[in-house]
Amino acid sequence: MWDQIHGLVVQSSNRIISGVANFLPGVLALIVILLITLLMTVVVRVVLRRFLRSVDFDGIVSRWGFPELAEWLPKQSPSLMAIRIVNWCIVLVGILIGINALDAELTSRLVARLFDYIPHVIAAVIVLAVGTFAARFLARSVLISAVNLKIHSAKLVSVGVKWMVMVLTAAMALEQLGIGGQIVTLSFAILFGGIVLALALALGLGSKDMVSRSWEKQDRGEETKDERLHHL
Amino acid sequence: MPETGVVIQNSDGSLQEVGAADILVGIPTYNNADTIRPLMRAAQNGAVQFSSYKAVIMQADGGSVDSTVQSARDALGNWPNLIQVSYPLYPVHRLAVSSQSIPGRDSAFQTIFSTAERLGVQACCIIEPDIKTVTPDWIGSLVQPVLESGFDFVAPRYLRHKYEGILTNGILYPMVRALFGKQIRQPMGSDFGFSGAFIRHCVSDKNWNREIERHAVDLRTTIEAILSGFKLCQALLGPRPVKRDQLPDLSTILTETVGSLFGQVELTAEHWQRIHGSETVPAFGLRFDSEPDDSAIDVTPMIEKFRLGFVNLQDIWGLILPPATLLELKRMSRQTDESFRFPDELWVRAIYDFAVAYRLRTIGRDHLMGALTPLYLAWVASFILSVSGLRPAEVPARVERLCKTYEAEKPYLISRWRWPDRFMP
Repeated sequence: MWDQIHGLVVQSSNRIISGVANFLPGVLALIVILLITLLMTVVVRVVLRRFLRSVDFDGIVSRWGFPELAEWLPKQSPSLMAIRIVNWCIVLVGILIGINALDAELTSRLVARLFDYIPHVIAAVIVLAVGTFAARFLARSVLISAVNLKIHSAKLVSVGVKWMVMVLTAAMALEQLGIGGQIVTLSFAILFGGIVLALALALGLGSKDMVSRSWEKQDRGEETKDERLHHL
Repeated sequence: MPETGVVIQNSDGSLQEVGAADILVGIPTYNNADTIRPLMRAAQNGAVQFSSYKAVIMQADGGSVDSTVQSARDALGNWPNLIQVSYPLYPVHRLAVSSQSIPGRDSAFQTIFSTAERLGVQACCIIEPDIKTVTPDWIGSLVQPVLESGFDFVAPRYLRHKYEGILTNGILYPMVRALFGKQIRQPMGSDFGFSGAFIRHCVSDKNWNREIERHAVDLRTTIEAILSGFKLCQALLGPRPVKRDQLPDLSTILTETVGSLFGQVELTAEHWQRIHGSETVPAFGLRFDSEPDDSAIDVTPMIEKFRLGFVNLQDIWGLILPPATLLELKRMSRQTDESFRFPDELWVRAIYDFAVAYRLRTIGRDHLMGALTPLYLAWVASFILSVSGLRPAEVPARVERLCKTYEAEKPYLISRWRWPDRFMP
């Protein structure tokens, strides 16, 4: 009986030791791959930064007519954003290669699921980018127009419009990612309704004097002296 | 010059043979039935003054739906030297909100110029049809300098009340003068005279044809005449009443005018950076004296709009203007209405900063003009307050001071233009 117990212990120990022995090179390979990946990101960052600076990438983006894009990006630098995107791509590829060194089957399953999900991620990123761009553009349009219409709550109205578009964008992006389900739709409806109500109140309260003055003037057929100025 | 007649297709589709002409009076129209009759008669009377030349009147119509075309024909009776043609008007012209009296002005200019070239005219003038007070002298003033003194381009010079034409006084005239070196009082106007040589130059110039579609045709043509070295003069035309009922909002006017000017500044940077100072441009025509008008203008709404702009638009102005300018604007916003002043140096630098931002597309160009509106109103208020106590004859001296400031500050524009990031005082 003791022999049997001894045999079992030795066998299981051997299995564990051989398992660890099989697993360790994979872990070491993963660590080495991650270190190489980090090194590569540093090198690519330096090289790419110099290259983008030499071709004046920020200037090109601005000249293409995307000043809003420059404002949307971190630290207002499109080149920094490009470097970050390339870096994260390298890190992602490095992690996949590293996991492959550990377990090829796991990696193939992961890659398959990842590729299934990638279209949703891309759609969400595009929705977010377009939404953020549109939110900033509309907010600025509303702010300038409201000031020129002499609406005192111009900033409030502009911020309201911005957040309205952002909430809509976030809800659409989350829906693309499949996160939240009905809760997102419900939350969006509540938030959107709240913002519209707040905007209506702000606009109504802020411009009630202007509207009444305008109506009175229209009733009396008057125009102010500055409106009669001929600028040309 | 063609030796035989030129066949022109009239707006009703019929063909008309017109012999070679010496003078062409071009009148672009679009639904101007209420003003076209007196204008056509004035044009005819003006044309017959030049008895030794053959004069033709050309109505270029953009597809009027009222009786403009018929009224123009009736006004001249059976006068044989009338050409009525259509100029192409596209949906973009019809939909555009504009301060111009006729839509598709660029297209009308092109049609008149190409006809003038085909007729081989020595002189051509264009009169816009939105007023009834055009006199035959206007034709003479615009054509005579071309025929008798060899000028190529005649710019209009209107008599304005001291509170009128503030955009011209505050931005257009001084900036064109400082940048392009010619003291043309009305670089954007409604009525111009041209020589045959200048017309041939424009018709054959691809840049001119392309640019007038994007920017104001009158300004582009004026700058073309300056930069191409044509002989320039001005015609004193007297007052030109303004129809105010259909004027768009101020931001749209600024986009059309100042935006066009900034666009031209961007396109001609290599030229204007080499020009120093400015020279006078001779003026011909009848002398008019301004009548004193003591009507007061309430500047408070303009100042309030500026203050509202300062509170709300600081972030946007901060992208365009340097910190020192923003600090000055802050001081200005604290002034009382009575003592409100916008210093000339500050105003000129702000305009130059906006021109740089237009070129760099710091923000969208429509937004840029919208952000300029409260600043412009502050300038208008300041200008009105500064000339309110002056006689009409003293106002030109005030405008001259501003022009000198524009010229003195031109190195600032050049520095910011060349090094927009590094040179930010």
